[in-house]
Amino acid sequence: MKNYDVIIIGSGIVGAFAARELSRYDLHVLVVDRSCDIGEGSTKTNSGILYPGFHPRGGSLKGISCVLGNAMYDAVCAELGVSMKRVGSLFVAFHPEGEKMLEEKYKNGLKNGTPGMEFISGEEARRIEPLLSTAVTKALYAPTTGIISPFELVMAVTRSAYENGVDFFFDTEVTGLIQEKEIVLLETNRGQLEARFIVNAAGENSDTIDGWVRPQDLIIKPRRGEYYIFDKQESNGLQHVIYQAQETNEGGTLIAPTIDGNLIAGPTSEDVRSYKNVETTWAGLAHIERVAKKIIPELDLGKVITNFAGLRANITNVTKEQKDFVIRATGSRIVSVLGIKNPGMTAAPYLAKKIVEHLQEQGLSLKPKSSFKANLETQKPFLQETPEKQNELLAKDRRYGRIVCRCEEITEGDIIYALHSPLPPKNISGLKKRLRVGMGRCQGAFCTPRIIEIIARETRCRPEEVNKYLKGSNYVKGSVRPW
Amino acid sequence: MSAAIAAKETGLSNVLVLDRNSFLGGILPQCIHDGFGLIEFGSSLTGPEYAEKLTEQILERKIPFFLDTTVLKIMGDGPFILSIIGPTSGFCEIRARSIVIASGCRERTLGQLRIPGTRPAGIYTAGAAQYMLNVQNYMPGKSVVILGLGNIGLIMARRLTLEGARVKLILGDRASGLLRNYIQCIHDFKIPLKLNHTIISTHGYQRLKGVTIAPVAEDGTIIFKEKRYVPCDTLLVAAGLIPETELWKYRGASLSDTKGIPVEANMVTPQEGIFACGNVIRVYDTADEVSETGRIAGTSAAQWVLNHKISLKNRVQRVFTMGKKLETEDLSNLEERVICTLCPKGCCLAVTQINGKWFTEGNNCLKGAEYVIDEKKLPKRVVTTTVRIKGGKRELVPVKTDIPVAKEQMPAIIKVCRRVKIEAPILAGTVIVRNIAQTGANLIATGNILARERAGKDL
Repeated sequence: MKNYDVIIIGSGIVGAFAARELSRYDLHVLVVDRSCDIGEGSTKTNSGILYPGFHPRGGSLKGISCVLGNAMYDAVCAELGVSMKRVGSLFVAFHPEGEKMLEEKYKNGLKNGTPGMEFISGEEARRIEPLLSTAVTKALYAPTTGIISPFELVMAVTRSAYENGVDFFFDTEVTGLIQEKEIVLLETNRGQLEARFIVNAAGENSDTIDGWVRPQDLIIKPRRGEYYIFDKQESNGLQHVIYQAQETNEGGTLIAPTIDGNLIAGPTSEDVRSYKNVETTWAGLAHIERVAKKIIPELDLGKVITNFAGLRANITNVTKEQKDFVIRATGSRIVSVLGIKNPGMTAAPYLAKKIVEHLQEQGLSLKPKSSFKANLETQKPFLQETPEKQNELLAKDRRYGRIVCRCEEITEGDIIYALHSPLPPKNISGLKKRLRVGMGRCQGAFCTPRIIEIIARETRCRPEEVNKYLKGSNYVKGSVRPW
Repeated sequence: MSAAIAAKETGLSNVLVLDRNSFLGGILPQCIHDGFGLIEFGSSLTGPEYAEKLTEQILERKIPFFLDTTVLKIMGDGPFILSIIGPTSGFCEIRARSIVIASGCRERTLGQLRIPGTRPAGIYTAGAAQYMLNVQNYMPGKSVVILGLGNIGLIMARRLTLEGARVKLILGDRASGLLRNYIQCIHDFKIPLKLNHTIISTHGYQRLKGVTIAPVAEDGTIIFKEKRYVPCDTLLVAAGLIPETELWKYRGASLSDTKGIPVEANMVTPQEGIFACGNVIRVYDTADEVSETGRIAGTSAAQWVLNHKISLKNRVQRVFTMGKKLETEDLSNLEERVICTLCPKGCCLAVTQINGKWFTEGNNCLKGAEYVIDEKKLPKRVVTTTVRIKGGKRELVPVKTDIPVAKEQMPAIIKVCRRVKIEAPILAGTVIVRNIAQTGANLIATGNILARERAGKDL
């Protein structure tokens, strides 16, 4: 077994950025995750927004890491070839109390360092965003708000870490932890692992792991957010991320364009019992419809293509006023990251730097690696590639010419390429994260049966073994006419 | 295909068919049931047979076609430039003086119905399940609930039941399928049906475990307090079709009231040189109607290219009697009345026997009278299913009995079909089993399955 310098528990966005940050140095790094793929927790289901940093309390780690993390994204996206657009946001108010809330957010933003904030009138807001309701009286504009695909981002960060030498073990659940003098032992369902340092970025389980080493003081419970996704917008669609000054109990429901051209509305905010509670509800969807209609009265709900829910890792035993992201040395040689919910994705590149600083304080020596490659070369889906590359791909494999996912225009060649690339998808959901197959207006109605056939052929398995995501989520229940 | 054949017949020499499927016929090859072509060809054909008849005409006239080829955009105002992608053509542009858009429709999904719940495996649109079951040899599930009383939902209820799945319930807020399909697919198999009901939630984390259903009041509100849980591992959504108008919308053009490409007489669209036909205009009930619109569009397109003028004679020549739709009152008293299912009209006849002689009332044709008397004496059906084939481009060949057989004999026939295994290639019309299950009927192939080329070489 390899002797690792650092093992990171969790391959969500924080674990991925931490892995990439550590891959700059001459270290043996391993990422373990109990699920079968990258970013299966909150990373998979969030709004896809880079927050400007005025939401969290002024001066909090959440606020500061959000602003500083946000600023790092230009470089991150350029290096990794990830699409990102700084579309700007409007925090809109409908009444005097709402306007007061705007003032508070502005103050938070000033303390956190949010750049370029500006108050504008209702009319001005409607001038730059004509779809807005006439009831909007005032808005807080923030230019640094961006939109990004969480899937594309986490895949690219992970691939960059992988190409720079980080190892990944999936289906590996950490069940215990033993601190020894020079090393830490991790008990897992697949045997013991050892490392000199541990990063606990286990999201929903980070409190449990933290509690193995020190008296558990933080309790993390799932908080659900439901969303609607709308079909791709016309060119005169929504341009900005719209936050709204909530009336009673509306949570942080927003409406925004996505980087892929759709429209997203949500999330709700409901405490639930289990991390399996990813179902949507009548109440939740009705809430989103109401808030979305309040912001954009003309919104056509007939354009909805799907709904989904995600879970935030929410610290429950701390008052709202004191709640913050937590990064700390859990014990000697162990750094834990706890309670990372929104704006966790925005903050992640900054949090990764913080994690490395903590490790250094614990005694990890960092020797920069000359072979580190910051830039990631990725092959885009065929139709998004340059004409030269397209000719080259078609000459190699004619199946790049056969479109399988009609809505997102993904070819059979793209799917075959993804299935045989490093850190390959293990199921339909994994393929969807890498290529957007089945995410369009037909929601996989046309392509899913064909993709099952391609996966079965390419990975030499039976169609019954092709899962949607978890084991037991197979689509095919045997042959109609076995041979 | 109908449009291409008509355009060629009108005198146009340079016609090209583009299709994104790897076969001609669109949805027809997966619709292995019969009832197609009563008007077009004067006999009840299965989907694959109907597609085969048109394909023969395409081949006879040497009309070229590109398969697996997607049209991404249509640019210009005439002549048009089409941006296409396919394994043989690659990613390129082609020019055309006129275009007929016959891109059909797609299915509404559960997501579009805004029904909450979990998102496990086991939820399919009815058409996707049909493709899995009839073409791919994939069993989509064992215990099934079907949402939607449209034709595909009804047809799939029968197909799944015949293949050994248990259809626990078919439900919908309103009836929309043809009465003929209701009789042959639901009533024949005694499948539980609930009108004015909808699904209010889906359950299950990995694979679907069940659905919660509730009645819908007349004003459309859901009566939550009467909700009920139905365990199942599969949900088919057959909740309507939407014209596939993306190519048209890309041009910034608007849609008609039927959510399709707007057309006037002769299938002329507001864009000179572009014609549209079939389900992309509006969703039709029968393939025969779709073919008729295709013929008109093809003729008009050819006339427009040849002399920039379209003769007014191309209007719909055949008058279609709209098929009778399922209505609530149709579901009662089926013991006393017989509904003729020979054609989509759905005539409702009263049959009485006096002194050993049969009399009918309410029939509009002689065939109908004969049919209902037979139906009263001994109900018979043509059985359509599939047989396993080895070494072919597909694993299943669609088959049917060449004559109707007694309803009770259906399971025996399916049993034989499970056992029979044949080798590719096979041509439509080939007898696979003579006198199947001693019924006197022969089992014949209804589609061509070509032999597979060397492994990995098939594009």
